[in-house]
Amino acid sequence: MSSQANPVKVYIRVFIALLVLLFLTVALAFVPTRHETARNLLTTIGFTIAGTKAVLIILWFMHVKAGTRLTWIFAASAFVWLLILFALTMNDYMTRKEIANVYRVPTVRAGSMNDAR
Amino acid sequence: MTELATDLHPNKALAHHFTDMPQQREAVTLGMWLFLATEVMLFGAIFLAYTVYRHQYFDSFRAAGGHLFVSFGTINTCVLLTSSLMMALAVHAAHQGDSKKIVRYVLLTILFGAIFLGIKMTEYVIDTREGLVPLNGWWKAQSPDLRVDREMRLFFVFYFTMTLLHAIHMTIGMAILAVIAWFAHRKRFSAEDYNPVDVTGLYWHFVDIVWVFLFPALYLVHPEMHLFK
Repeated sequence: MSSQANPVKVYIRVFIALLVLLFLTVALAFVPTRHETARNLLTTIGFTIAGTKAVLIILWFMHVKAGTRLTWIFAASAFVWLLILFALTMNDYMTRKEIANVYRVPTVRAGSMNDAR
Repeated sequence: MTELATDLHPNKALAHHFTDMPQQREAVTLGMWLFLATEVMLFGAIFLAYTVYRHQYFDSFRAAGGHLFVSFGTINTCVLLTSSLMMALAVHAAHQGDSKKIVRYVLLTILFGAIFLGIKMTEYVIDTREGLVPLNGWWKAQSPDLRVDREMRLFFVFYFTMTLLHAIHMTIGMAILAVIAWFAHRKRFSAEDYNPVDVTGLYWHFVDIVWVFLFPALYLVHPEMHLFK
C-alpha cells in the first residue's frame, strides 16, 4: 500500500491545476452580463469548476485513485446521498411556481410562514 | 497467550485484531472516510438550505454577496490550496518514513492554515465595521426595503455560520497537526506505520474541499459590485 504515494511531481501538477481552475472561476464570475440565462450559466460553470477541484483533491491528494474499491465506495457514497438530498429538495422548490399555476393556488415562498408584516 | 500474540505480531504498530499492516491501514482509512461522510452530511445540509434560499431570494442574495471582498476570498483559497499541497507532501514524506520532512511539511501546513485564519479574522473585523454581522445592534440596514433587508441579513447568517463552522474545523485540524508534528519529532512514525499522518491528511484535505465550495457560493455571487460601484 505504500505504493499509494504519488511522486512529488504529481502533487505539484495537481496543485497548479487547482490554481488555474481557481483563477478561471474568478475570471468567469467577473464576466459583465445582465442577461439572466447567461448569469445562471456562469453560476453553473462556477460550481462545476468547484466540483472538478474537489474531484482532483479527492483522487490525488486523498489517494482515492490508488485506493481499494471499498475506499471508492465509502468516498463516493457520501456524495451520492448528498446528490439525492439536493435533487429531491430542489425538485420541489424549483417547480412550485409551475404547480401553483396548474392548480391556481398562490405560490408559497420559503420562509413565508414568518412573513407576517 | 500474550507470548503467542507477540509471536504472531512481531510488529508493535500492528493492533492485535488485524492480520497485517495493509489490512489495518485500509480499516483506518475507511473509518476516516466514514467520519468524513458524516461531515459531508453536516455541511451538505447547510449548503442545501443556502441553495433553497438563494433560489427563493435570488436578487437579495446577489446584492448581499456583493458586500464581500473577492480579493480576500481568492487569496484565502490560494493559501488553503497551498496548505493542502504541504499536507500532501507531509503524507508523502510519511510514506517514505522521513520524520524530519514530516515535521517540516506539517509545520508549513499549520503556518498556511494560520495565515488563512488571520486573513479571515481581518475580514470579520471589516465586516463588523461595515455593520454586516446579522445581530441586533451590529446589523446596519442595507436596503430601505424591509423585505430585501431581511433577506440580505439571511445571506449573512449563512455567511457567518458556514465560514465560522469551517474555521472551527480548521482550528481543530491545526491542533491535531501540532500533535502529529510532535510525534514525528519524537520519531513515532516509520515507513511501516504512518496511519495517523495519513488520516489527518484526509481530514485536512476535506476541510479544503469545503472551502472550495464555500468560495463560489459566498464570494462569487456578485463580484463586480466592488469594481463598478
